[in-house]
Amino acid sequence: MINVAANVPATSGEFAELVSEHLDELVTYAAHLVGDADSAVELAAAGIFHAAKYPPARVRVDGTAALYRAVTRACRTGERFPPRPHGPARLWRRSRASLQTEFRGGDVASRMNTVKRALMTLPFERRAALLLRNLARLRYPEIARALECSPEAASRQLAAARRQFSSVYREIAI
Amino acid sequence: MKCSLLALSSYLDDELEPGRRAEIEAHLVGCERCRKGLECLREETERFGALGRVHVPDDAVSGFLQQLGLLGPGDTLPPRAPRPPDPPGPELPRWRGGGGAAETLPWSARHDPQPPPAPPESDQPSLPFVDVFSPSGVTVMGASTEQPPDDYELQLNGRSVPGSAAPLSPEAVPGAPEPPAPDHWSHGSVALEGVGAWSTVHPVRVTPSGLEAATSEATGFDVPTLRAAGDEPLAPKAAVVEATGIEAGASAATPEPVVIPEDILPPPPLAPSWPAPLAPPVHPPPPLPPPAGPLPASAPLRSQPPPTRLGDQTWLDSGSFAPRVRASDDEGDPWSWAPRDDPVPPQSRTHAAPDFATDPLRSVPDGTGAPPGRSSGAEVASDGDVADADATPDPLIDPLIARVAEPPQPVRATLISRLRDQVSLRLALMRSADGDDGRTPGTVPGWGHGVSPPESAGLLTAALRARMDPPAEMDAPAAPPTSGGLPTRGGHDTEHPAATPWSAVPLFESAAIAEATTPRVRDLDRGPAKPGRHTRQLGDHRWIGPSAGKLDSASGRFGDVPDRLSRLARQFRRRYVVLAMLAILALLVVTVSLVVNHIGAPTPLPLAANTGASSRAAPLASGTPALQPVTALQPSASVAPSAAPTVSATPVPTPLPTPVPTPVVATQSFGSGGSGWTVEDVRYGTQPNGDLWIVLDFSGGSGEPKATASFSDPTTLDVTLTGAGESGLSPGTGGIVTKAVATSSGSTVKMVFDLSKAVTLKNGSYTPQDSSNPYPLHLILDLG
Repeated sequence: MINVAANVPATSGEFAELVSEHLDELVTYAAHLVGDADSAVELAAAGIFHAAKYPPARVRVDGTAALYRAVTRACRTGERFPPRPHGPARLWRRSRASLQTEFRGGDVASRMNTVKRALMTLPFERRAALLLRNLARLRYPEIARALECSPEAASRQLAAARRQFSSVYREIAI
Repeated sequence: MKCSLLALSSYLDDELEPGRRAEIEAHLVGCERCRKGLECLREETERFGALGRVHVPDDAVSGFLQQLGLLGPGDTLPPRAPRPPDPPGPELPRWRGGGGAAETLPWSARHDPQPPPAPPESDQPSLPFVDVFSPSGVTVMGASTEQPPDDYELQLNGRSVPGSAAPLSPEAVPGAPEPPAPDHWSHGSVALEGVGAWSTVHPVRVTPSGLEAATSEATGFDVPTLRAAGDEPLAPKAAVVEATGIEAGASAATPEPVVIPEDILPPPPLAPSWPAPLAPPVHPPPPLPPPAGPLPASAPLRSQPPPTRLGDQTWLDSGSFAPRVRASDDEGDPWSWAPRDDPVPPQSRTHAAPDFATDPLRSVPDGTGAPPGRSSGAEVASDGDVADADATPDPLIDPLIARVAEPPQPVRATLISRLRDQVSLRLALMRSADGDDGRTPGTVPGWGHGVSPPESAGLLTAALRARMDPPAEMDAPAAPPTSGGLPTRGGHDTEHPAATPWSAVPLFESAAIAEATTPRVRDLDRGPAKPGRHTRQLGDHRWIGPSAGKLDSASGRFGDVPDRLSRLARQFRRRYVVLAMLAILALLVVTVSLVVNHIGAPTPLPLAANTGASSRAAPLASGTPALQPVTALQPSASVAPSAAPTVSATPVPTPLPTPVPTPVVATQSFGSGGSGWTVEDVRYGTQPNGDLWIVLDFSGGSGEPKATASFSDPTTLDVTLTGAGESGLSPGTGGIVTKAVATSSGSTVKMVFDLSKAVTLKNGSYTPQDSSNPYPLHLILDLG
């Protein structure tokens, strides 16, 4: 049987509600994924822009995973919103960030604690898996959608990331 | 069931099926390794609560959504998620009030006008912090250094507690002398979580001397402890439970010292405490006496539930983010006062930290005695990691096993390695200070012979000097640390030099000899490379030597030329760069000059004007017409047939037609061939476009005389007329024609025009009589 309701396109209001609900977590996730809070705003905005352009069919079901997937992809490819100018114009034309954020408890970029230092040593996929689980609290199927892999691969990535993080953390936490 | 990190990870995240989950829970009952691993995983998960959070204001969200087109200008912002919890403060040591204070302290003083919503009421007693209980240990909560204002309010585990509920002025311990504390020490009330369930919260005072004295007597550890400052001593249930393993029976009247994490305390002075690792090993803490009485029924011990998802809890539930500081983490670790920048005590400070990042399977010995490697039943993850295997060494769990299986080390392995490094460095410095002048070690009175070291030497150096064996220590490796500390005097054991941790101490004489006698590694390791067919052909005949027939990139007579060049390039990289830049600059200058000269120079002659020329102005000149490129030229010299000469007594005034463009070739011919013509005049005229027209006037003939025009050199135009004659023709000069000579022989007239500059014969055509002159036929040569 074809689920007709599943094919109903999402409305902009639903997606706006979803974005508004997860915007803080998305920017935080991007900030810790790339290690740069300033770039995280533009990267998260690029991911949200892409997700808004191609919204999932079932916003309430997999909208969160779609948002994290888009932000992860933007962080991986370096896509920004608004796009930075190319060529020599980028030297004197700086696009304004679409989001004005505030960092709770100090700027995220300058606070390099041990967790962040250990996190930055991990590969991108493992870092993303750890953050998606421990920071964004996504379930394994959602992590799999965000990382564009199978749930089994996501669980293995997460286990490997935990092991590597543990090893690195023990080394640098002396 | 097999011990598996993958299974533990999935179990921790509650991502397993019920059957598998029950299987793991059953396994956890009997497998301490997995229990410790699970605990380690939980701690790591909690560490992520220390990461900072970003908050986007509502107006920025509205603007962003409007920019994306998801929200109209007048639409209201959808409801947002609650604000994330505050991240910890700046990275100051926690004993100075910074660092992970937000994690270690579940509550913090706030002046937020809007108190957070209180969690649902429970059946616990009225004290506000009995809802959260940490079964793993004692959590010390909050120490305020400033006197709060009247509206001081504590937010404790999601509840608002009036400032008056918590006594803030601690009282001195009766009978205990209180030493003067530095200003930067934290003074304030410290409440013990989990204690208040059956006793009143008492203010205690954190004083270093009282802390050290209390627990040193009880546990034998040189660890600062906490002593209650109130009249009624505290009964830290969690500490008793953890130390004794007995949950019930804790008595409120038992005055037991409470071990608290020492990182909230000021570090002890460094100098007096440095010999502590050199002291005999510290024995594990004796078990605390069992509590006298049972716990009240109103305060049952509850286990901490596993962490739930973020959406299931509010942001004020800081217990999910705030890692508990457990008293058992750094218990007995004399080095644990070292400053740390993370709120959670790392495990590496309490046990060995093997390097599993490089090759975990090689680093962890196999329990079966088999060589290290992947076992047959190993389930290899997609990224090459062993995810689930039976008896496969797990890098996460095995250190915990080692930690559990062995009693607490007097000096932990990590500390041993650090100390060993320091000792190596000190010994190296000492040896270098002694000098290598060939003196026999046994005859040299050094510091180890009863001579006191200089004051500049550190305490560690002095201790090493005092412990060094005078005759044999300098050359023989020291004895292994049998007692866990430094080698004793004269305790060197030559039978096991490799087993001693002091083998890392460099012996400079041996190292120098080894370096001098060992051949170069490059010469030995460079194996024969399989040559290709070209190299093989060359190598068989060109080089006779040890590498004949097996040439590689660095063998052969010129084989090492690339290496030499690369070395040279590395050595003179800057010079080469400068030279390359100069060469590029010169090339640019030459190119620009050529372009400028090309633009300013006269128009280069096409092939038609450069037949047989060797001038620089005609680079495309070709002496052979067959070799002329015709890409830019029209093929062949088919002259457009001009009108037949009309001979009439009354010339009809017809306008001079526009000359038909004639293809420009090396030699151009005009006219179909006539006879009886006489060249009457030669005229020159400059056209508006700058071209020079040479007009030859003919009279008295029929047809069109055949005219052939060619350039003998770029500035000399030869015109040969067949079927025409001349009678005393003296052509003048004009325009660029500096000289014109006409000679005739029979019915052929040859005219030579010397030009002042190289031009091109663009067109040539016969035109009939016009109104400007009486001659019936004209030959127009267009030079431009």
